[in-house]
Amino acid sequence: MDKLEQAVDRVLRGDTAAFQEIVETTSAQLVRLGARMMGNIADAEDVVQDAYVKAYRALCAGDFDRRSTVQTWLYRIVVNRAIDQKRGRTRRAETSDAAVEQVWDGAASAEARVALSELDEWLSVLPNEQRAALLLQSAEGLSTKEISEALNCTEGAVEQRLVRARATLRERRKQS
Amino acid sequence: MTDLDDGSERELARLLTATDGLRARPGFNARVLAALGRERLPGFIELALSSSRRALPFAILAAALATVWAVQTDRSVDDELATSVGSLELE
Repeated sequence: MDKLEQAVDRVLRGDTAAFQEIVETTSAQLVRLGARMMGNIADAEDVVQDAYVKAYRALCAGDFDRRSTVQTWLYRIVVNRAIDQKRGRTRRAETSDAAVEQVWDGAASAEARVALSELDEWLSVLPNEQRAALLLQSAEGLSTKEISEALNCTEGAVEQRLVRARATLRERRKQS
Repeated sequence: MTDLDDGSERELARLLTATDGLRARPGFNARVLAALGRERLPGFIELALSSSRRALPFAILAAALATVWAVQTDRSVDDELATSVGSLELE
């Protein structure tokens, strides 16, 4: 059993301070995934913070059923939260003419920020679920089975999303 | 499908590598832990409630057994008193 699973066991036994270990072990990876989903660090931080609070509540309530690994479970919460936030942001953008606030991209290097903006623009043609599947496979190295657990869908649906996402990106590249 | 001859795959790989250096702003973990600290009290309450829910069947069973024991004890005391009173009357 790895360090993360052991920390979860300790939280389940009532040692709520062990959650700090989970945060320290996973936050860099989750923020990076969040940033690639959201297109900026500030939104990614909000998403990941909300995801941790949700995960903590679920652990305290005994709702984590261990059908997937802790890491996959956290990916799932982050991706779901990111998709919800992106949908909310789209709705807000549709209903408001307010200028979009410029967000500070924190400790990321200038090159990484430029690349993130480019990646966001490059993936913006994809529906959120396809974007998530592609990022979980290409950036996080998850298997189709793990992605299906993270996205709560069948492995067939994951493969279909990946094929469609790649076809869309290929088509876009041909046009540009 | 990881066809590296495909330009779009190469582009994706390039952008993912270039964004590997993304980091949260300083103090992010501390902000998360502070948010969790605000959750802790409700978390404990929830834990206590869920533990209470789990203990409820045992509590009901214990209450039922205690009631049965109390009724039986009461009856045996009544019987003993009745016997004593009957004995006194006969005397």
